[in-house]
Amino acid sequence: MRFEDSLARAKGQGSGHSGHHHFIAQRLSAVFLLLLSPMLALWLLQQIPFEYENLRHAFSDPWVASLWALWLLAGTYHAQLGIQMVLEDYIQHLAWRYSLMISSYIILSFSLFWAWAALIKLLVYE
Amino acid sequence: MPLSPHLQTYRLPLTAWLSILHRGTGVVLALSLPLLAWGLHSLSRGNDSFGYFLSLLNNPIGYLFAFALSFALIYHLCNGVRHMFWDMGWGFDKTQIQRSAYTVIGVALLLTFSFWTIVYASSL
Repeated sequence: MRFEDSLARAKGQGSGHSGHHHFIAQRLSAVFLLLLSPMLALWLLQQIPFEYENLRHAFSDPWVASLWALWLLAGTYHAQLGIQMVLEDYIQHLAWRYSLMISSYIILSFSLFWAWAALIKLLVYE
Repeated sequence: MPLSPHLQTYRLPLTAWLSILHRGTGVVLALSLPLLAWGLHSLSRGNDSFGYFLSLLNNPIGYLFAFALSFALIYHLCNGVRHMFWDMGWGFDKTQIQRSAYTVIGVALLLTFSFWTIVYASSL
């Protein structure tokens, strides 16, 4: 027995109706992170020893700052989607679930903007 | 929450442990993003504040923390690749799943130790 008409089936959203894009976004951000993380790890290895002058100079390069800014964006978005999925899976009590979800939005977006602000400040160094 | 498998009586297979580890490392990495922002900010505020940030890491507990965090990132990245192959419908065979599980653990450990060996060697 079919419970969906052909249009509903073609849209392929099942009973959830929305949220399918989270699945795609989680994987798209993962691909970004997969490409960017090895680049930043290799860059990090070149900055040893981690000393103030050395790192300040390295972060004043716009390319480096851009890569870090992109990594932080992809990482924060990926983290938010992941945390949301974990909360949806394990927290049954809706008030707790949504409180924690809103907290994670606030904490992660705050830390993203905080890190971006730092990167912009780091660009200005002579 | 799934009612099956019955977690108290069912011996979890390796792949289940890796799945749990994937989620666990994911949550830990998400929680560490504010720490990264803190580190960048301390660098932007000058030598003193960055020195204080480094001093928090520059002790045995700090090293252990940094090592664990790097393993979490590398493991999550490697196992993420495994997940992407699954998303493309590849590697669902029982033997393939077992093989990719061992491969992910091996590669993640190898990359983590290589990273820290290079860090140690170049800071001598």
